[in-house]
Amino acid sequence: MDPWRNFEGALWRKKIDLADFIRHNYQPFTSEPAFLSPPSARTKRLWTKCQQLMDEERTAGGVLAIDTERVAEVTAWAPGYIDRELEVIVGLQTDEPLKRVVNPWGGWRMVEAACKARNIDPDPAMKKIFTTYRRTQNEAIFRIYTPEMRQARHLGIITGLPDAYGRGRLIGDYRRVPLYGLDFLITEKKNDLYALDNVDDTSIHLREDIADQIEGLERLGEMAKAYGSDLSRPATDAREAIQWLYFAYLGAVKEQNGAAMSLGHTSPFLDIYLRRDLEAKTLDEEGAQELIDQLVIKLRLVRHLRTPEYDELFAGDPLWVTESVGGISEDGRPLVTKTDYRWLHTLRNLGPSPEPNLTVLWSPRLPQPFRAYTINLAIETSALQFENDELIRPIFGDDYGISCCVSATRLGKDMQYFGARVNLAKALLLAINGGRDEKTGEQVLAIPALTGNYLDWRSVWENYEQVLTWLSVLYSQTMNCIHYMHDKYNYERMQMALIDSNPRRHMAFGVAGLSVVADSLSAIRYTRVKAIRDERGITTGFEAEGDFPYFGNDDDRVDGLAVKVLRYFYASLAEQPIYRDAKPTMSILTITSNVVYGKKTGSTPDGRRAGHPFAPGANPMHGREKSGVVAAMRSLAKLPYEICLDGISYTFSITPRALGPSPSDRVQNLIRLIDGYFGAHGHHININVYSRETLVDAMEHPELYPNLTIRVSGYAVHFVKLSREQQLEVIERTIYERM
Amino acid sequence: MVTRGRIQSVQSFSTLDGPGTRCVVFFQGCPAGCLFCHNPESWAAQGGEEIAPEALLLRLERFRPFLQTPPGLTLSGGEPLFQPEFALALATLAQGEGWHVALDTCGWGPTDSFQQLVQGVDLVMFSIKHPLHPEALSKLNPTSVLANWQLLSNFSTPVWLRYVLIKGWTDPPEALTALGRLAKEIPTLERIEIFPYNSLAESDWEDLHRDSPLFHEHSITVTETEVRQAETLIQKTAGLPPRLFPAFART
Repeated sequence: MDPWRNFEGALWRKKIDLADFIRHNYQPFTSEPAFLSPPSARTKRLWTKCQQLMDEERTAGGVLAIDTERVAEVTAWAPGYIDRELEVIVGLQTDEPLKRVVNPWGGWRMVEAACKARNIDPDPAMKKIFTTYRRTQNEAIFRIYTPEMRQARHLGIITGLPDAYGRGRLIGDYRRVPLYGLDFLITEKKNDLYALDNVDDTSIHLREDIADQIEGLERLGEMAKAYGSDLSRPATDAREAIQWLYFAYLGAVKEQNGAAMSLGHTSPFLDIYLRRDLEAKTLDEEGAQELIDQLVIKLRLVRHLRTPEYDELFAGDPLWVTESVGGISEDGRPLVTKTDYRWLHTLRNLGPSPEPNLTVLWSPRLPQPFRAYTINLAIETSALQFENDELIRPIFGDDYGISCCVSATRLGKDMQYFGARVNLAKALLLAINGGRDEKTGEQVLAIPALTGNYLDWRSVWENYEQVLTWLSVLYSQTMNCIHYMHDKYNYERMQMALIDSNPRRHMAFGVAGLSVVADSLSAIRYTRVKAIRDERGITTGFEAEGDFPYFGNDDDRVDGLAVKVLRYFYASLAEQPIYRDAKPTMSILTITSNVVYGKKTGSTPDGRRAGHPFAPGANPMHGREKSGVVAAMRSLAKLPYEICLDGISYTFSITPRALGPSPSDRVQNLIRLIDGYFGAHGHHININVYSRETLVDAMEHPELYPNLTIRVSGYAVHFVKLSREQQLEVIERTIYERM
Repeated sequence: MVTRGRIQSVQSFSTLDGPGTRCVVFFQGCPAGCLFCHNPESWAAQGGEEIAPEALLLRLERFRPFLQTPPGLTLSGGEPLFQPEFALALATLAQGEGWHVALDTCGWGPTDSFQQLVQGVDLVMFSIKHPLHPEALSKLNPTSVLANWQLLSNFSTPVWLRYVLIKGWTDPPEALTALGRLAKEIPTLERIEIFPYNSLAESDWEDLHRDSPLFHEHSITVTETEVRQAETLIQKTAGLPPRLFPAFART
């Protein structure tokens, strides 16, 4: 049977071009989603089994089983099943559901720490290989770190770096496997490989990359073959298309434990296959939903083995299997298809869940039923996030996905070098303390000490500029070290095989603590702040003698300071030489690490006490946005996306009552709020609709709330999986609820 | 001529201070001194921020794209009647730009100013503190408040009556019956909102190192059921149409 039967368009047949294929073949769906089907009997039974397994996992302390015998590799495991009779989409990371992979490529110490935390001994033979014969990414990076890099890392000035775990963030264009089959893809890669000359490091480096990718594709074919699927040819029907796509993703998560392993934007693509089968009556709606439900079940079962320190940073075992829905095509048609609804409908068929991390690409031009449907679902589940398609599309085109939390990436065209973030608040304290760390007193860089009893705005800002310049050099050089070695020792052949051979590269820098810094600078600028110094001469306390504006109240005086800091830091970063000519991008994003970063940071001039959590992402500090949500959104929207292309994360929480008197009012009001925020050029928003009482109750009685899902910064998490500290921080966040 | 006024703060988004989605301007200064006030910071006549109505409206205009059409503006406080020229200037300007303007008031103020403001807004939300003995809970002059309430029947401006139910203070049947009688007098009455007392105010008072005798009483809060019972009583004894009590005012 011709796998491409009934498909339109010519360009995509000759060379890899998913956007062209979709443009010619997808059908927008603009009506009410009355067609949606409940889960099939098979799905229900399968999901019940999975839920039992996940209960066992929870009871076992978070990890059900670890395979210590095998090294992460796509063909390392024989096929695994949950219940073969019930599975219409097959494939597991290992040979059993929820059994976790040991992944020593990133670093051996992390494997040991993760195993030790579970009282398991890793295989001695494997240890010998990865400590004696085979260098790991982690070891390689630390061998070349300078003392200055180690110091900045150890003091928490540069934090969360992917120097001990997979950097993630890469989205393979998994749609390529079902559309073209592996033979076609391998031929294309070989053409790329042979077309390169051998004259310098750059081209030989690329040749080695492509050779690795080809090997990855071949191994992927072997893995799928063991499950009885022939990936060498294109998929011929919807089941195969979804199965092929999942195998391609599975190959990636078998080998890579990247922090974020996102899926992309698959609905319009899969919809083309589903619609063809539905029209041919070889599939009915229940069958179509069953395929999507079962794909989502598989995505919900993906696990990685982490260390306790990692869990503290990124709570709740997140994978960032981010999948986007919605968006507008460059030809003006909505990219909404029936399958976008089928994806969203899994939240009802299978219940709310943090994964996959469902992201709505939002526009006022989306069909009204779709807007209402997604907002209803966001209110019901607190499991959705929204990104501004009108802001992103002009820069990334219409075939992009969201990587990790909030970062747009062109599918199959871009890659990202993930770089976590610097702690801007600690950097400010360095400026105030003459370059000394406020906790240890260590001298980090040489800048003039401030001696007056009161902090002088001009002197503080001049010092801060010096710190930020120094930090941009150190940060970019650290990133260069990390990604050179990551490419060399922990290369993501499976994902990169499904991205163009010489893609656009982004170096994804990030900042944390922006609102603390803006408020602190505001205090120094607009009132008198007394510096309380200890016997070492380190400023450990601050006394503001008057009122000053806080970020989050639509007050340009302080909002402008936030923008000033971002612009200064980004301009400095953009001047640095970057590995493989990557383009610098920046995020304002913390995930749940705002708690840990706060813990490592002394008191700040804004009145925040030492150790107190930062606000998440780009949020105003807890309780300081006194003028209500619209004013807060206006402040957020002033942060310039054009220099923060890696994303500006805003987490918004409101009680149902404050959102409107009736359910339909709530939907309309929330739509209007998001339109307002995005119309003002806001980039991203997490929507939480719950009351503080619910969270407090869930903290006291976690057994009653196993599925309570909330959006933190850029991902969703089961509330009960957060640490107590993180739960308290979430509860302390501003929840708009005014009487 | 510029009529500058004093405001305590601006709330950029509310669904609880009138119909639709609205901004709320909290005026600085209120003479009422209600024992259950949720905004005691706004009492002092001085303080707050001095601002011209034009500048204030410009600030509010920034919030318009986030609000439903028409955007709502509620003048609250503090007590807007305490700064009548400023309140009227702001209301007139805002109405001219298409805002739906509501006046949230305790009704204590000079009759002339009150009449002018009532005619200059789209909705009056009149908080009756106690229909018989407001002096027990506040410094309100019962005669002045009652006179202003009755004036409302001379105008076409829609009216919402707001009432806080406090156990032992505002919930005796004779008080509720009297409230029903007052409600009955106003033909333009659109809604009666009965709010259960909540203790949120107490921390605001503590912040100001103030104390209210109310907070020393035990169990002055009421349940949802009691709110519903009070509504039924008001509605039945005065023979009011049930539509005046929208379900959402109870949640």
